[in-house]
Amino acid sequence: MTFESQLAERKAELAEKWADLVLRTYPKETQKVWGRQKDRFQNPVGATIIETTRELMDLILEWADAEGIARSLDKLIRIRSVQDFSPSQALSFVFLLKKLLRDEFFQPMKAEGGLEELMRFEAKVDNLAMMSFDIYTKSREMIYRMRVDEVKRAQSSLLRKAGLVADVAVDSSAD
Amino acid sequence: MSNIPKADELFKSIDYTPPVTGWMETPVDFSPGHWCYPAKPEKIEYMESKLPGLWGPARQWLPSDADWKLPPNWKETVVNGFRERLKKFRTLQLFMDICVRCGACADKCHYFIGSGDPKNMPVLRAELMRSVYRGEFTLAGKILSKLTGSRVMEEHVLKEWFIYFYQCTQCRRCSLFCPYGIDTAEMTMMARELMHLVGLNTNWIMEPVSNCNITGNHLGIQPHAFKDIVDFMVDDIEEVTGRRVKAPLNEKGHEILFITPSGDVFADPGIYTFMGYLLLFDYLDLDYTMSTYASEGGNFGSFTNNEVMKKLNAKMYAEANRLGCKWILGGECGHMWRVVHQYMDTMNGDTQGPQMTTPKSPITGTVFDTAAATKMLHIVEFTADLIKHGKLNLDPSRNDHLRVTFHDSCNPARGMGLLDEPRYVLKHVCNHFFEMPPQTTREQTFCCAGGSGLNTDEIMEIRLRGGLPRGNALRYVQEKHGVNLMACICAIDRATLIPLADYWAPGVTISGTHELVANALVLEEGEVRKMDMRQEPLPGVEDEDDDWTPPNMEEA
Amino acid sequence: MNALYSLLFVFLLVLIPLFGVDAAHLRSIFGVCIPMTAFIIFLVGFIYKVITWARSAVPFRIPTTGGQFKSFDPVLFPQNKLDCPQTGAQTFFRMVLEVFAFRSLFRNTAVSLHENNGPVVAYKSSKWLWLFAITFHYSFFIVALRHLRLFLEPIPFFVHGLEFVDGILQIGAPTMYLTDAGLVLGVLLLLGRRLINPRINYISYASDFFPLFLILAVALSGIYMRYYAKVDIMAIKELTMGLVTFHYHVPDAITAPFFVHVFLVSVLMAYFPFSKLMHMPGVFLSPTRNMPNDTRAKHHVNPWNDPKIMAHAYADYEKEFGVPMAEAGLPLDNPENGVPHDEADA
Repeated sequence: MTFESQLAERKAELAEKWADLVLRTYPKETQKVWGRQKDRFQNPVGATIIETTRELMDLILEWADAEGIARSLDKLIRIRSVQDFSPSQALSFVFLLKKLLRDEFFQPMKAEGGLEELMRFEAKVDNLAMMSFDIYTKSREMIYRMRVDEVKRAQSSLLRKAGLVADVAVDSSAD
Repeated sequence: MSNIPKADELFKSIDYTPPVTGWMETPVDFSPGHWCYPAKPEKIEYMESKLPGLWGPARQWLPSDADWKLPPNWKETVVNGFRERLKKFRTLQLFMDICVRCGACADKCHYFIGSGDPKNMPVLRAELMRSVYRGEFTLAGKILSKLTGSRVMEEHVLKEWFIYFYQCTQCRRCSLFCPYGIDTAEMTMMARELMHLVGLNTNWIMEPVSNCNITGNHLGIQPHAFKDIVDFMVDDIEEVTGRRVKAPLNEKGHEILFITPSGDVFADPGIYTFMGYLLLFDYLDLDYTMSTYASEGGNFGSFTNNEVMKKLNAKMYAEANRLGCKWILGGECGHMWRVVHQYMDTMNGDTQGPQMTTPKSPITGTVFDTAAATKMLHIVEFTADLIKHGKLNLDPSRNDHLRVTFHDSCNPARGMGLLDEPRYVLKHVCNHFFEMPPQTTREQTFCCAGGSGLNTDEIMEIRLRGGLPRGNALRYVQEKHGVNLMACICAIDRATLIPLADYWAPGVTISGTHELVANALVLEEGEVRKMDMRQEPLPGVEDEDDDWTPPNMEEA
Repeated sequence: MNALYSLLFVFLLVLIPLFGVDAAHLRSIFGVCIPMTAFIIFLVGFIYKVITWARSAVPFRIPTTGGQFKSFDPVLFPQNKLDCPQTGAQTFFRMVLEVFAFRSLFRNTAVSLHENNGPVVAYKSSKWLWLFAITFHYSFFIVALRHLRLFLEPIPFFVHGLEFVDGILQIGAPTMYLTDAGLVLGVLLLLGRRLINPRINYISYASDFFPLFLILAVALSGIYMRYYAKVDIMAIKELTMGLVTFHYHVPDAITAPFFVHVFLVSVLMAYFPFSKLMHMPGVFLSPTRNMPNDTRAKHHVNPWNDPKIMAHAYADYEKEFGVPMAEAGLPLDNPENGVPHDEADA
C-alpha cells in the first residue's frame, strides 16, 4: 500500500485533526465556539478552516490541480492575513499539516523503514508553504493598495476640484 | 534519517498557543494598526472653545507611547463622570447591574466572529466597564473584588477601554439577542464620553466634528468650493442624460430643505447617488433647496458625546427656519438616521420654527404622520411613495447588467426599522434582485465594520476582519446568483463596503439606492440612455453604436 | 476555581444552621430572626435598587428595533408590531413576550444554511439556552407560588390548582411535583453550561456560580424535607403563619432540615438585591425594550436637556465665508458680508 493510499483512507480523519490544530492557534474560548458552530454565516472562520483543510487534503493527494490548491489556500489565508497574527503565525497552518503527518506516521514508518515515502510527500507540503507565501504577500499588498484607494475615493470630488486629476481629453497641443 | 527533528521540536521556536489567562490579566497590544490616530491638538482646542469642559487637555500623544500624557486628576475625572452618567442615563445604570453573563451575545459581534478575540464578545466588552462600576460603586465589588469580577480604575484599564471601545461600531446586533436588551452601543457611547473628558480621542472623528461645526461638512470644504463641486455633478448629469438639472443652494422660500451626508458630495461612489437625488428632484420639479451651511447630514458628534451630537444636529432646524422651509428631506445615511429618528426631536425639536409642518409629498399628497414630530422624511420613504402612486416612469431594464443585493445598514435596521421601503424601491428599478441569507440581513444584518467613526484606513485589517461576516454572505450570493452589485442606504457603507467587497467578494461593486433609481428613471417618453450614472456605457449600446465617442471628446 | 469557591461557600452555609440549631439551640434565631431580617433586607434592598434605576433619567427614546417600523403605508409595508412597536399597547405586548417567553433568547432559533456538499437548509441554533432558562425560571416561579399555601389562610384557589397540575403525573407519595424536578434540572443545565462551555466559563465569576449553587441547595433541601424527611407540615405552617401575623413561635416539632432550608432561602433573599439576580425587576425597565419606536412622531422630553447648546450660528458662518460666497453667487442674508475686507476698509 502506498503512503498516498494510506493517507487517502484516513483523509477525513486527518483533515479534521488538521483543522483542530489550526483552531488551536486561536484563544481557547474561541476554539470551541468556532469548532462547534457549523453555520457558515454565523461562523465564517471556523467553517472556512474546516472547509479548506478538507479540500486541501483532497487536492494534495490528487496533486494535479495547482489552481485549485491556490484557490483553496487563498480562502484561509485571506482571513488569517487580516487577523492579529505575525506573518509566520498566519502561515503556520501549512506547517501544522507537517506536524500532523509526523505525529501520525513518523514512528510507524521509521519502524517499517519507509521514511523516504514520508519525506517525499512532505515536499508537497513545502510547495504548499511557498504558494502560501505568495498568496499572503498578495493579500497584504492588496490591503495597502486599498488603504490608498480609499483615501483617494473619499475625496474624489476635491481632487477633481483642485485640478489634481485631469480628464483625458483631445486637445490642440502640438505633441 | 534519525536526525529529522521531532514534530514538537519544529515548533519550539514559536509558540502558537495563545496564553491561557483570565481576561483581566491578558495584556493588550498597543502596536500601530490596533488604534486610530489621536486628534490633532488644534481640533481639540477648537472644540474646547465651543463646548468647554468636555475634552481634556489638547496634546500630542500616541497610543503606542508608554505615557499617554493623561491629566494629573484623570482618575477622579473619569470616576466622577461615570457616577454622573449613571444618574443621567438609565441605560447605563441598568446595564451595569442586570447582565447575567448568559453568553447569548457572545458570538453575535462581527468583530468577534472575524477576530476570535474574546474581548470582542459584547459581554466582555461591557465587562471592561462593568468591572470598574462594581469596583468603584458597589459594596460587594469593593469587598470581594476578584470573586465578583471587580477592579478599580487604573491607567491600564483606561488604555484597554481606548482599544476596545474603538472596536465597537455601535451596530446593536448584540442588543437584539440580549434577553434584557442590554445595548453595547450605549456603553460604547458612555465609555467614549468618559475618555473624551481626559483627552483620549481619535482624529478621524474629531476632525470631521470640528469641520462640520465650522463649515457644515466633514471635510471642511468652504461654501464656494462646495458649490463648484455640486456644479461639476450637474455637468456630469448632463453628460449622461442630456438634461441640465437645477441644484439650488441656500435659497429662501422653498418648501423642502434637502440634507444628505456630505460624503455623497465628495466621495466616490456616493457622488453618483447624489446625482441620483438631483436628477429625481429635477424630474419632479420639486420645490426644494440644499444648504452649504447645513450640508452634513451625518453626525460625527454622535460618536463623541451627546453635547456635540446635539450641537451639530441643531443646524438642521436652524437652517430650515432661516430658509423658511416647511419640512426636511434626508438623504441615504445610516447613523444620520439613527440620530434623526431617535434623538433629533428630543434634542432640538423645540427649536423648530412655526413655519414647519408634517412632511407632505407635494407630488402625491401623502402626509407622513410617522414623521409628525421631527418634520423630517427619509428619501427612500419619499421615493417609495412616488413609485406606489406611479409618479415615476421607470425602465428597470437599464439596470439589467446588474445583479443586485441589498445591505441593511445597522442604524436604519436596528435603530429605526426601515427595512421594506428600500427593497420596494430596488425591486422597481432593477429586474435582478437577490437577498443575502436571512441571518445576515434585516434586523440581523452584519455591520460594514466601519461604523461609529472607525472607517479610517489605519485600522484596515481590523475593519476587514470585522467585515468578514458581511463579506462571506456577499460572496455566497455572488457565487449562487452572480450578484455583482450591493446597494445600500448609507454613506459610510458606500465608503467602507468597497474594500470589504474587494477583499472578500472581488468583483462586486457598491452603490447607493438612488444611483440605481437615476439609472432607471425615464426623463421623457422615448429617452434612450447610452451610459449609466458612472458614465460607463450600458451593455449592448456600444455594439449598436460603434462610432460613439466618449462624451468628453465630443466638443474637442 | 470560581465555581469551586462558590460550592464550598454553599456547603459552609448548609453547616451553619445544622450546628446553630442542634449544637447551640438557637431555634428562634434561625426560625424567626434570620428569616425576618433577610426578608427585610430583601425588601428594602430590592425597592432601593428599583428606585435607583427609576431615578436615573431616560434622556432618549432608543428602542432596539427588531423588524419593519410603522410605515406611511401599513398595507404595502406591514409593520412588525411585536418587534418594532409604535404604540404603548404594542410595546406592552413586546414586553409580555420578552418577560414571559424570553423572546430575544428565542430569536437565536433561525433557519440556517449549512455547507454539507452544497448548501442545505436546516433548523438549528442555540435554542438550548432558551430551553434551559425557561425550564429553570418557570419551575422556580411555580415552586415559589406553591409556597404561598404556607403563608395564607385560607389557601387561595390558584395554589390548589397549581398543586394539582404540578402533581398531575401522580408519581410517588407524597406526589412528586414536576416543577421540583424542573427546578433541579434547570439549575443543573445552566450550571453545566457555565462549567463546560469554555466561552461562558471564561466570562463567569464566583458571583455567577454562587446563586446557582445556592438555588440548587435550596431546592435539594426542600425536596429532602418533602420526600425523605417528611417533616411536620402543620408545625411549619404554624411557624410561617406566625411570621406573617407577627405572632412569633417556633413549634418543637420542627427539625433541622427545615432550618437548613430556611437559612438558605434567607441567604438567597439577603443576597438578591446586591446581585445579578436583580435582572428580574431590571428587565421591566430596559429602555431598549420598554419604549415604543415613535420618536419621529411624538416628542420625548429629556429632563436634563441643555438649551444653551446651540448650533454654530449662520450669521457667524456668513461673516466668515461671505466674500467667496458672494463671488460664487450664493445668496447672502447680509450683503455687507460679501464685500472684501480691504474694500470695506477703504
